[in-house]
Amino acid sequence: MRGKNLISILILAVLIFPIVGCSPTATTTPAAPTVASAPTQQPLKVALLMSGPINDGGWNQSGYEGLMLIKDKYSAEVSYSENVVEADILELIRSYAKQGNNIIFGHGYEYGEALQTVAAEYPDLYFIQIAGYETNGKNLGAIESGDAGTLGYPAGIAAALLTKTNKIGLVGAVDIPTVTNEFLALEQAVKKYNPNASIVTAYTGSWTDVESAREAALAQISTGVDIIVPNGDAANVGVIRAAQEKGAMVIGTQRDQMAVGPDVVMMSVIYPIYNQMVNVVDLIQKGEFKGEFYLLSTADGGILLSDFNQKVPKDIQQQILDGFELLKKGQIQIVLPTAEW
Amino acid sequence: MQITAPIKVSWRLKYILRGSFTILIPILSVFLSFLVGAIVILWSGKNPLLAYSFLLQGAFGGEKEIATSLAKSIPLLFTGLGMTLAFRGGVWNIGGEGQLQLGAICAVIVGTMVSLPPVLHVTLAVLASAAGGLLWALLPAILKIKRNFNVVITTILFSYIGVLLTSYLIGGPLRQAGWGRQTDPVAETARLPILVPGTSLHAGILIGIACVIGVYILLSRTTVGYQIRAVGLNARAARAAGIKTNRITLLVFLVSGALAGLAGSAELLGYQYRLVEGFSPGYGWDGMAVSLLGNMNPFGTLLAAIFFGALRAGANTMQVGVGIPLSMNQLLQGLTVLFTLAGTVIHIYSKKGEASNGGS
Repeated sequence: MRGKNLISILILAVLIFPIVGCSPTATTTPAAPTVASAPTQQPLKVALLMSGPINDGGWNQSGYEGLMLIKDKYSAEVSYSENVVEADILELIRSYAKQGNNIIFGHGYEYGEALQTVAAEYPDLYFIQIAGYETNGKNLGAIESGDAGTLGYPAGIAAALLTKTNKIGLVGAVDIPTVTNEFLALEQAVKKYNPNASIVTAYTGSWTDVESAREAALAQISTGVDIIVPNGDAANVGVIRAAQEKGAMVIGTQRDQMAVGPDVVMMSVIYPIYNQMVNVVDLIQKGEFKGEFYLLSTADGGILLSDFNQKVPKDIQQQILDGFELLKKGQIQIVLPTAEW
Repeated sequence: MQITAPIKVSWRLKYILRGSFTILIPILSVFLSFLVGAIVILWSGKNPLLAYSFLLQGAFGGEKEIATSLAKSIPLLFTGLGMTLAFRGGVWNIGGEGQLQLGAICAVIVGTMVSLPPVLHVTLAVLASAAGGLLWALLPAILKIKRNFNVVITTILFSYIGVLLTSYLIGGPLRQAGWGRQTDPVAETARLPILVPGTSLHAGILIGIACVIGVYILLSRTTVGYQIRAVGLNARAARAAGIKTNRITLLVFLVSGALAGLAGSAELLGYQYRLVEGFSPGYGWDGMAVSLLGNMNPFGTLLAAIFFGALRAGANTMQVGVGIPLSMNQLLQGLTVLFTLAGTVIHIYSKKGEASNGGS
């Protein structure tokens, strides 16, 4: 029996080791020595918590870029935690608060409640929820970039005008409102600019699963889709790869994805949340922060268009730019379901 | 049969030595894992002493830190205790993760869809989670007893089903209107009260300690417990001695499942309040490590859970303070278990040697 137990224990040992979850990491980047700030002044300390990796080419990378912009502009001492799991959110925010970080960003709606709790415990520090609505009128505010639907709409114009088969594919990660609303706006643009085009939508369920996104895109292409709009952060790479294999086109979202697929990416619709992160730090530094919801509207640069691929005909480029101008002027009404935040 | 005094003394000494060895192995393995961990930290270009000072400070630096360490140990205590009971009864139920998920699902259903007065509501939600975990252990138990399926395999597979079931429910039937993939938060009346304000230590720890005492009494002070241990040591011999082994296996399976289910409600009703994707960062799997480090003893499991909880709390502080990845915590945890296992193997072999030497 001893021998049998031993074997069982060894089996257990073998089983335990592969079962380690994702590995969250944190990095503190000390501020570069500065000449500008007074020597006696304590450097501004800023922290950012993200649920994914900083190099995902999408949502989390944009947050990381914002942090780096803040670091450069204010010679701030910045630190961040990536791949944060739900069970650690509250304690990590408390730890950052305890270490005296003046401004703590939570990158996504999942940070709202924890930020609310810790903001009440540390009234002298500032807390910012990115892309959420959690505010307390004092030291907790929320920021967002671009009015709802204005990311998807220009992508829709481009897809509608560029498709030759009149079949457009959408590949999203998870069907959360921030993704579904953009796809709804996209559909409205397609209906207006190319009523004959049909749309197929797929959700992979993961922000990081490149292979699933690739499979979904390949499946769409096989049914005749010739242009795909992905909205899945790191998973976008899979869509671009599929397009390269089968010769389809891609409209990038979130970030400029031209570099990932220069032959297939026609243009990208950019979500510059990093600029609004800098703006909110400006507000705090000027003493004008009131713990509210701060939106960088699309008219003020909350959504940007990248340069066009040379393959996009000039007249189509002009139509996309014109449509985007109308959108910025508020002359296009995007109908979205009322959010129940 | 002539026993002289010196032999008696040396026998006692050996007994004491052996007893202290079971305590020495976990302590030594923790020490060794930190030693190896220090080398890894050094390798990554950080100062291990500074890192460990942050770790210690984050784990035990003050009242709030200790409370946080205890809070982090709560789900591990339940899953570890479930496995301790199962392992002692010879049931390799390593499906704690799935049983935890089912516990959390049942707790969130009661917590969001039922309205009841305060104490009653939370009690019902906690009991529901135990029932959920129990139910998730029932199927592998039946497969084992009726068809002699390999428990390790069935429980692992049921864990994956449990995790995917949660994923389905938070994206579909239990999804909060208008939001991402998450459920509504449980009602105030269904929450376990916070014991130390400004920390996340909640009343789940009291339930956990009660369960430790309960499992201890069950195993060491009752006839059923004696039978459980007998089946765990040698099922065939136990059956020959007239113990209804199937009944004991079923009991052990169900109770260990219920304990893992309680882990789900403790984390849900005491800390996270809503079910989301990645709700449990592997508490069910970590329970194995807790149980093994705790030498499959209820009180040992309690100590091991506190150790791993402190490690997690400290690792958060270490991460924020020095910028060391939180995966360092997993590395230390893995190393500790590895060294514990190595120690246990050496221990068993030394006993074997003894037996063959003194057996004549």
